[in-house]
Amino acid sequence: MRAIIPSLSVKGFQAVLSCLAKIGDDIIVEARPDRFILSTMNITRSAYASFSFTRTFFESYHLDTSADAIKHDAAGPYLRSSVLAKALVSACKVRGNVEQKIEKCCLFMNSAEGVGENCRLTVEIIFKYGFIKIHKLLYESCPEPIQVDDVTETCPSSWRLQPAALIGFADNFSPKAEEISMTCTQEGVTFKTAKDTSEEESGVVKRIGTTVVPMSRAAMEQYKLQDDIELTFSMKEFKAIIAFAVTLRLPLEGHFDARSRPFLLTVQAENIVCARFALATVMDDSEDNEHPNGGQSGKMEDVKPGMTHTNSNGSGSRAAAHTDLDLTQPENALFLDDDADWAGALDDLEMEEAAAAAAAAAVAQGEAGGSSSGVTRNDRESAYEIEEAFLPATQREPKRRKFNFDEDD
Amino acid sequence: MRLKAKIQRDLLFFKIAQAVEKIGKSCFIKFAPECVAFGAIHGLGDNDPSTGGGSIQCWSRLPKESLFSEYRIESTSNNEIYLEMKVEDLVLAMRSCSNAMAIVMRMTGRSADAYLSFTITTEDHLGNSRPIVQNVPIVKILTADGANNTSVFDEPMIPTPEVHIMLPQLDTLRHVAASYKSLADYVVISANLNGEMVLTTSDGIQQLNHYSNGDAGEGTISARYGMAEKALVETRFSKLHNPVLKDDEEEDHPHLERLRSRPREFASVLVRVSDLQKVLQSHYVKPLNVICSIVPSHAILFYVYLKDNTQDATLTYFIPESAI
Repeated sequence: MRAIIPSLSVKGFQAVLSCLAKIGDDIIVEARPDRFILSTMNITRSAYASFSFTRTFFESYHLDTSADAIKHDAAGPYLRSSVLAKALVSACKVRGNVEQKIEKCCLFMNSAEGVGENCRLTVEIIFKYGFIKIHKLLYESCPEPIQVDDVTETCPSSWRLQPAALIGFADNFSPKAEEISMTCTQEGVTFKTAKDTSEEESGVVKRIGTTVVPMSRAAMEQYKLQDDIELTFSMKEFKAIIAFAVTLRLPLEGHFDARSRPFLLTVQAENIVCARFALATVMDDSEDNEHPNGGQSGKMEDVKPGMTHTNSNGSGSRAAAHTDLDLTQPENALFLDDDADWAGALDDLEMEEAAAAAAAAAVAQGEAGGSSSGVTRNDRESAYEIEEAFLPATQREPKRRKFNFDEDD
Repeated sequence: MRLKAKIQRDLLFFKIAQAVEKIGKSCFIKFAPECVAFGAIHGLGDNDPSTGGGSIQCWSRLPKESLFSEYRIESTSNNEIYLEMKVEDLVLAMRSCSNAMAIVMRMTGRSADAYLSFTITTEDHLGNSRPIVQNVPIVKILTADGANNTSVFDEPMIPTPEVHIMLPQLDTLRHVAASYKSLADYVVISANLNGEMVLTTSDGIQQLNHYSNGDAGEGTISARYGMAEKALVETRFSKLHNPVLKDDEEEDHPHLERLRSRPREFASVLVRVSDLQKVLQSHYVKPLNVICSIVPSHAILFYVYLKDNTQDATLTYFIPESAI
């Protein structure tokens, strides 16, 4: 594989790489004859990003389809490997005015089939002054793809924001905030973060500082909403995505569906680069039970055991067992490569944990119940926040349609 | 208990918070019908690797007009409210205020779970107004008794300072302090009544045998403090103004006595460089002047004069001499 990026596009390429590096530890480099794809997934598998470049992005792009290392799948021949994100970012890093200094940046992948010391992704940066910086990065082969089943077209609700609207948006929120919730109503979208500012030694009830930023319908370029909804997802990746859209001055589109589905975002530039992101959303118990918003903390106590009850009939493993699940384990992942093996064992595991956690949560509720406040929404959130630490990224669906190379459809 | 006010356009409220941010984790604010007082003290459970010396303290009492407009307060304890909150949260709320058109501060929630809520009206990219809400949790609301017992707002009892001098540009001092930070942990601040000020790096050890200067009162500092290990750096400022504070003129003040007899002798105090840096953080409020008062070998006070139309509003820092 040989790709040459002209100096004008290097800055965009660096923006892509830094966004990928913020999300995941490894970048999967996939080269196909008609496009070049960089993708990653974060360590807890709750965020996915992929950037697809067409040939027009490059000055020249060539994939040797006759090499031994080329694999084939339903979409054609390809070459896929994974490199360390930090290594790739630092290899492509150029300080100062990029356009003045660089003539071009070249990427070569030798096809040693991902075995042994010879697999190198070579990054050559050719400077205008006459010197060349060469980095040779070790890559590993990456047999299975990461795919997101959800497609933006199937999502009934969406919004689209101009980059100008996003500048300075992320600054409003506390840098320590880990999650952000997005409430969509007919008037617009409201983003809210809550930051836990409790002091460890005093053992006081957790205090949450919140920030609320509304985005009215008029501020959005496009807004389509099927049902009023509230989604909660990770802040760090959201900030990385916004930073990417702002750097490249491209509009950001968000697509969403029901609460249990991930939140999809896309940034596109006209057939040159297309970025797709998926952020896992956190399940919110109380809303599943359709309690009205004025839920007092007392109600939460009823909700939790009730949830375990009703859901255990239905989708089995999907219960209120999203407490205490260890997110670093692949079986609790959003995107599964092969879940058939895990499904059976997990059901038992989750039921046990659900029981244990429901007890723990009930205790936590008791404490939170003491401090009811006039601001009911805050209160409900604060009671709810206590559990958030244990909530997994999303619900795991046992029967998920997989992208399978071998079988014919 | 009710509190509602609109914050003035110059955001002085937040700037004071920024100025005291580094002092300690918590800051105490007392809201009274006519004035607002801030207090912060280092050492109440703050994690500072170099503790073991005196604790830096900072307070300020300002008329309400300089901070707020449309100020309304109601409470059962004499219409005063005492709060303790985390400074970093307050500063965080300021992040959204850069282009704000109006900021309204309100106390919300019940006693156990109170927030100081800021509703910030900004304009978004299309020109629509967008209200951003920042809720800052209040760690504690102190009762009237508790507040009277907190000494944070008042000046501690110290002997009268002997030397008053106006500091040079704060930016210059910040550079000096920043470069000292990497060289030494302590700095000796010396000033005399002849408009001279010297900052010397030190390793913080006080030497027991001090030799007097004899007739070398021309500008040397008595070497009572150990020299810094890495580098001995001395920064001298001259032609500074020695202000005379109003009440000093009345009696036989040590200040005047010194002025008569030994104007050129330096009065010195040993403090940590980090404490000096904390004081210099007050540049955020864009002060008019900063006056430094030294009680030799005991403490140093910095009076930061804030720009204010109505009265002299000051932010005062007090650093006792560090003793190892």
